[in-house]
Amino acid sequence: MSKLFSRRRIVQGLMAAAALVAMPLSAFARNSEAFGLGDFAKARSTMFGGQDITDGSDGITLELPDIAESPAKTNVKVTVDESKLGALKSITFMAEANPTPISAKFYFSARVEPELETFIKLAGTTMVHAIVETDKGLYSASKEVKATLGGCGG
Amino acid sequence: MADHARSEEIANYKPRTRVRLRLKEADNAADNVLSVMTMVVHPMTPGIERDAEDNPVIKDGKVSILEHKTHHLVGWECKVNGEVVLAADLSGSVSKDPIINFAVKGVEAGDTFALSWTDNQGFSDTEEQVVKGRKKK
Repeated sequence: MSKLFSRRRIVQGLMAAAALVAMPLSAFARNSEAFGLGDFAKARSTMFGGQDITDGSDGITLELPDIAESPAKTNVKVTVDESKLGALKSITFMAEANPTPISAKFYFSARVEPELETFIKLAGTTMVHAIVETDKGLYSASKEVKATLGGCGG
Repeated sequence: MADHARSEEIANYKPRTRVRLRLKEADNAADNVLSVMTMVVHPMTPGIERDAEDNPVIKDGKVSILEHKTHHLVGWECKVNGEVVLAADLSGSVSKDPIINFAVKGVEAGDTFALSWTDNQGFSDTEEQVVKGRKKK
């Protein structure tokens, strides 16, 4: 037991050191409360402070498969038409059926093209939302993805 | 919760970060586009506590997370010449070995590109590369 304990102490020390090194990354504020919420509507309102989210489907291209072959690795691509919706500030991906619906929030500077590709986990068939924040407001595009096997193991 | 020793798997984790850059040069450097493909080798374990029926355990409206088992990226950030161009907050519902692809405008050969990240268990890594130009035809 004493050996285990000392290893834990070392690990804690390393973690503290790593946390200090990691400080500059906090340039953007993380809404950790929203990330931990299990209810989709609650997570969304906590993340966006109850602001109106307009349908942005004419300015947002959300590419997702109709059926997720491997739900744990679902390809998602978003392109935002800035001439319609305004200058892109952030994109948040949410999957309603996931235990924690918020997958990720990306913060864009003006130098980045308004498009992004990533891979998210889906816990079964679910609506997937891309919520786009521009200098004009909040917009969303959604698509239902069918999946039979859960992708959120562990 | 934080007092739990980390699992063997987490303790043995070794950060690896991959970045592939491709610069498309235009006549005017401001119109150059750098396409960026990134991958962090990471388990992205959400560490969600599950009941006997495999349903997530909810406590006070929040999903119960087993801190000593959860291991996923939290902060992710790309810089060009020290200036943040794209940043992200991630959760455990981003796929294992997160891939994030995007493009940056106005990058020139010789600029420095860096991807840095941190995870919830105190690991972090930075991959830095100098942007290479292509020979003009």
